[in-house]
Amino acid sequence: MVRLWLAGGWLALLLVAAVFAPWIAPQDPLAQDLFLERLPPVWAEGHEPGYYLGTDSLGRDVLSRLIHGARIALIVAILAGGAAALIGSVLGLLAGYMGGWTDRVIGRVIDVWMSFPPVLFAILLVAVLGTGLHSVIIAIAVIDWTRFARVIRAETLAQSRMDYVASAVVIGRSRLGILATEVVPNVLPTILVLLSLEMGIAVIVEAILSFVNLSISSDDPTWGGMIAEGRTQIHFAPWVLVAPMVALFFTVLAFSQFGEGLKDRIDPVLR
Amino acid sequence: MAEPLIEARDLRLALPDLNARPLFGAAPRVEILKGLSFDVARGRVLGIVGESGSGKSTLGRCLVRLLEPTGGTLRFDGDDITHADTRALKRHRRDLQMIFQDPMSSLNPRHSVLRLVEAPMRLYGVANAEDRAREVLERVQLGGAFARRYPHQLSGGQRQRVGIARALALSPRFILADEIVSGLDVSTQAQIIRLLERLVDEMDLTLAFISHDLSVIRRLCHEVIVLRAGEIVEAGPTAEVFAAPKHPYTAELKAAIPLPDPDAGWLSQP
Amino acid sequence: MSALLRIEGLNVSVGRGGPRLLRDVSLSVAAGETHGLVGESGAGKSMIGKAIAGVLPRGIAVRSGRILFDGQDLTALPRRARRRLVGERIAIIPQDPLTALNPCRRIGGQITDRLVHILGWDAGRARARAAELLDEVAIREPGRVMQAYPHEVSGGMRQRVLIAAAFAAEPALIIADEPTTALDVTVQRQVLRLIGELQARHGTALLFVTHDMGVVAKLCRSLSVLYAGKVVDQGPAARIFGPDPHPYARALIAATPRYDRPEESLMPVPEAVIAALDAEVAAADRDWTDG
Repeated sequence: MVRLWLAGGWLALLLVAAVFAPWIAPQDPLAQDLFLERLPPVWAEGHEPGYYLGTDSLGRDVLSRLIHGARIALIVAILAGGAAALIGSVLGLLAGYMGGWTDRVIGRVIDVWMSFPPVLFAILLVAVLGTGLHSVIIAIAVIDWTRFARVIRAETLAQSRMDYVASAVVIGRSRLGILATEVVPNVLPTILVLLSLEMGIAVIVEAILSFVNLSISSDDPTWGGMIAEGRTQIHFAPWVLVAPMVALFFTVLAFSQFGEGLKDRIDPVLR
Repeated sequence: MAEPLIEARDLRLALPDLNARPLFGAAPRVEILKGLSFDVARGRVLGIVGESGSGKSTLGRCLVRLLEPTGGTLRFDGDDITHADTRALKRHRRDLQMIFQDPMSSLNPRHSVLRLVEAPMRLYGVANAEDRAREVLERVQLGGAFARRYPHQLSGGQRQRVGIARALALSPRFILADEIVSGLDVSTQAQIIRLLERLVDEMDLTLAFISHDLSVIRRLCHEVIVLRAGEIVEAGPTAEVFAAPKHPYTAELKAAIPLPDPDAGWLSQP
Repeated sequence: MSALLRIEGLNVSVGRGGPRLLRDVSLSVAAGETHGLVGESGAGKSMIGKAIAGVLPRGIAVRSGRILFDGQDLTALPRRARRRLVGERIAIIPQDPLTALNPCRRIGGQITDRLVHILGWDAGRARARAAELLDEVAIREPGRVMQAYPHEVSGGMRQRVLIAAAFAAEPALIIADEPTTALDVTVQRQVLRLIGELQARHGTALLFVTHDMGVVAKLCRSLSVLYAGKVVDQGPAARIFGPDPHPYARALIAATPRYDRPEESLMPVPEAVIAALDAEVAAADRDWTDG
């Protein structure tokens, strides 16, 4: 219960920051000012008013970049996570429920898909699609749907063998009707938990791709890009590295805890 | 009363043998039902008794067409439904209902009791489904607050009542009960059997009752068929079969039941 | 005859001050005797066997009372000494033959475990004894079965293997926890007969836990009927199944289906009987303080 509120609170904060970034951010995240480079955060000596978390080597405000970076992190989490969940769950449900050749074909595709090294796959995809946010999202969805498909297939298979599916056949429900009323509600909690984990993973993958400069242009504020920059400054201005890392850590943690908490909350079996 | 409600003639079922799965080609088939012929008369209760591996549950699932027989014919109310597909079966679905052995796994854990009982009626557009559902729940002595509960909040006996209510919801012409008391305590078992007995009387149900327990069959069923390894070894009116079993296997089954009378000699009997 | 096992005022509860699972249970079993423990689910019948063997689930513990085995109070023994005593002289036949055997190990090793590890026999002697026992439980090819894995033999066969394993170390007491519940009636009869024969031959005492009044009637000279962790009736089977049972015992017998008198069987337990029992239990709980 507590974790649901803590995690939900952090995610809500993030959402507000992402939506209202231009109004909340104290500075322009792109404005460079070489007179204000590597200012320390407010609690350290030598800080300037208005730059709460200090500035980076180009004099850009770290807090403002963090807030604008939340936008990109959330967009990626929702779109990439959602797309992976949608593709994976639909294919997993089909494979597990239809069985037969449908299952065999989807199963083989998953096996082959998963034997590609994911990072290489991502870099390859981004190289083909061109750098940019859209290709990051597509890459994550295209690679990670297998996580959903595999688990949901197994779960669906287990559900299909339960007697309540047989009893739905006995009352004369159609195959699609059974899938919708008997099977999907029972695999939904699993999808939710996987989705929350996947959103955390998407945020990390975006950060990694930014780190190796394969995401959006390096001027635009992303957490991964900030970490990459901060790395070179670690001895002079550690806050540039630490601030986005802390944000990333809490966000990934919040996603997974929120998913688990939500599952406990909505599942009548656990109530 | 001339024509039986269900007529099985030389009913066969063979399934692929899962233990012997060759790398190529089709798996060899094992015969689970080896040509069964019997009737279920209207308004009567047929007992199907046998031990594990006798094929009694498989037979049950053929009767309500959860499984498709691979040979012989199965007639329901004069219609050949042996190989009827989903569409052809649709007409009969609401008349062929089933109560499952394990109510925990046959009741969707995420649906409330009311929703479980209502669902079949909503599917067929029965008017006042909710009122009707409450009425049926009342019949199985689960009135009032039970409607809002979920299966895991009920005792084993209450869950099985929900299973019975759901099977009754559509007022079907045939109900199959598959080992429905085997997981219950004796006192609960007694209640469920008495409830079923009353419902059979009041609602003029036609029932096939699968059980491994001859004593329960003796109490509830008008006719009985004794299955062993997919074959009927004996069939007839229950009272007669019990009074004078014709087949040695029936006699063996009967002798193996420990009646609640002290008898040190029972163990050493052959 | 002095009792081999004597339980006096045993109380078992979940946590300190939590709900009581056994309420002042007392019973005694003489050497070579068979005592039945009957009741419905939740009556605590399995809990008694677990308390004797010292394998109560986590969080559940003996709060008061004594378990005297051969004059020694098991609850007062240090843990190691108790393990050793129980390992040498008490054996268990579990309910589910499938989960009681490790699927990854051959059957032979699972029978000889106790002989080798607790009694310190050498492997050769233990294997010879195991083969002898499998022969005794009417398994035709002991050598082949010992080499087999549990899933390679039938359910009835697995239960016989467990019976052989229980008798292997010549225990003084065997606790059988619903050993035939999962079996077909014809197999059940064979297994019960087997347990009876072995018990008579080896002079073993048997504590037989079951929900089946029929099985108790056939197997046990004396029994305890439990309700909500409380012994409500105790004594010879001849009395309880005969002229003078406690109303609850009478109700359980009347609820049992019987093919010979169908109309007089499957009687629901009268609500008044349950109400009286519940009142008794509540009264007992009021007087009970967790020591």
